Amino acid sequence: MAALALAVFWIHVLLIAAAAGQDLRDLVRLRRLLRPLTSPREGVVGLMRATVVRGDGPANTLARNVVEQVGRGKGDGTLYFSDAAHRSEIHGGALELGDGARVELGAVASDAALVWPDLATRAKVAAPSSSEQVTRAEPEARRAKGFQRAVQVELTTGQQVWIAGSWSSLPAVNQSTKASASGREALARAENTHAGSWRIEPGVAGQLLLSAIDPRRWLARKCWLIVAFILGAIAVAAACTVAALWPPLFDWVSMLGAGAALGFFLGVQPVGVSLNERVRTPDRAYLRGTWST
Amino acid sequence: MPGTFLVRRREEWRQIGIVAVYWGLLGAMFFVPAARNVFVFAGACYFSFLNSVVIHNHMHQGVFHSKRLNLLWRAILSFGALYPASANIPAHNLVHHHFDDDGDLDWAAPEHVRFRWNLLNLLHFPNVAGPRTFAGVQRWAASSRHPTFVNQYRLETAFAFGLTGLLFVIDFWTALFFVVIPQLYGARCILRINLIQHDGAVVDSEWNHSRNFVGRGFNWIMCNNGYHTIHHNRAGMHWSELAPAHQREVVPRMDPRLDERSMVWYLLRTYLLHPLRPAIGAQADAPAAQDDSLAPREARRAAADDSALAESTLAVS
Repeated sequence: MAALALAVFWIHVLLIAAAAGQDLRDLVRLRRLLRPLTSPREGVVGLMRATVVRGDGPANTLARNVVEQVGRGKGDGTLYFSDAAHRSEIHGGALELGDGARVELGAVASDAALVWPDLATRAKVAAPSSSEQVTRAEPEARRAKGFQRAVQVELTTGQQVWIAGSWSSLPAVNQSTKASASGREALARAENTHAGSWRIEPGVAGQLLLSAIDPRRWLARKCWLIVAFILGAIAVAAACTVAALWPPLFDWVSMLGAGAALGFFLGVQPVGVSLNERVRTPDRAYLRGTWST
Repeated sequence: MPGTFLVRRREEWRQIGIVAVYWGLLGAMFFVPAARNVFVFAGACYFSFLNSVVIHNHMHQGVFHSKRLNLLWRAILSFGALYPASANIPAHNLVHHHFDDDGDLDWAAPEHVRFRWNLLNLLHFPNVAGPRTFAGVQRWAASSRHPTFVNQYRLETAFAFGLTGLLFVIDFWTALFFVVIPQLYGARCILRINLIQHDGAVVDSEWNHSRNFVGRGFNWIMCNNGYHTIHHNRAGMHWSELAPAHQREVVPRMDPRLDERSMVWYLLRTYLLHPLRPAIGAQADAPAAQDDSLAPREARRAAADDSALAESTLAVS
């Protein structure tokens, strides 16, 4: 019976580690696709830093990340939010690379758009502006449908972003302008020429990424977090096993080991799920949260 | 009171019998060394799963006339599964029945597991569905309009873990091997049933969202929990009425591939004989299924919420 219990324990610890490994594989794959480029190259998929110079969306926004939420409360001054949907929208616009080259970006279908907000900014946007706002929302929050809202984080003109997709050069309309000047100067002098201009389209697994944070750094941090979890889970499980099998079997140390194994078995499952939620990419990271008066 | 002595319907004695047998098997293994054998242990594991089936049925419609007795029964059932039975109200009655948590995924949605080797999905499913369920229950409880939910939930937790803890104190190893393992087996199997009943089905559909297991013997011991489509659509219908309702309402409208005669054969076929996870198989609703015989899901959820509230509140009894 003890052998059966230990076998079941290990099967599930390894399954939880393997599920975390699936998340790790996905993030490593994504990071590999986000190859950093020093300058755009024709037909290459990669990541560059740029500044938003024009947004074709409402209020000059280039893109936005939207979290639809439902707030519920029982009238005690606190509202609890759950996330109903996460959406990325790229409206189109233009960006400027570090060397002054211009990048034209068209509107992108929602299933091909990835907009990563800065999560700290998103948390600030989601916070109530005043206790009156909470009080006003409470009656709706008590109804069956709840208090519905959309938390939006926008990428707008002047903002530094990371952009990744498939790069292609725009045909130069005025070659003489391209030859005589480059970068900002050229764009300023010949606004309609597209000199030194690029277009970017979905290419990161069929998607186009616009991010307010360094995506490679974010991915690296999350990958290390997963690696630490996997190694930690296996190490703790091994320690519990050693203790449970400590001679004489079924004596005090063995009993403590078995108790620890049971506790770890019950505890590692929510930790695994919590990790899975924590490594969701920022475009679909849970916001949730509460409002209090 | 109309009907029968103590219970609302005479069929409920079957459920009480299941729980009595389960407690008998646990008690035998704990107190009688000779009963600690593979047959009694396997029986206890199976009846632990049935205990969770009884939790499911009881949380839809209380077994007893007395609401106080129903709340007490929840605590007894909670010990059998080592989780508070009242967790089923938000997790099953309100979220799972409508495949939706305010727009987010059902806490026990098949999508939460994604191994290519399908057997691993079956094994792993409780590791993710369980924690998501309990985290979801905590979030729901924080804003719930059910006034007694938190107290009842705590009482059931205290009883389940208190009694199990007492058994640990009396005899650690016997409690671990012959009580806790069967308890966890049943609780985890009832979570797995969500995967078995919905993986590959179309949850947006009204008649093809679930897989049914229609064997007569299976449904006798499972208290008709094989008829899952009709149970989802008519949550207020008593379990003893599900078989004819399945024939009458579901069979003419459903994709026939979602009716399985044997769960054992389905499990063997899906998780052992075919190692890879099958693609989505069921069709969307056929034209005949698109009728107005069902209330919208929102209305059904509100009705389930009202019903759970009425069952849990002593003041209105």
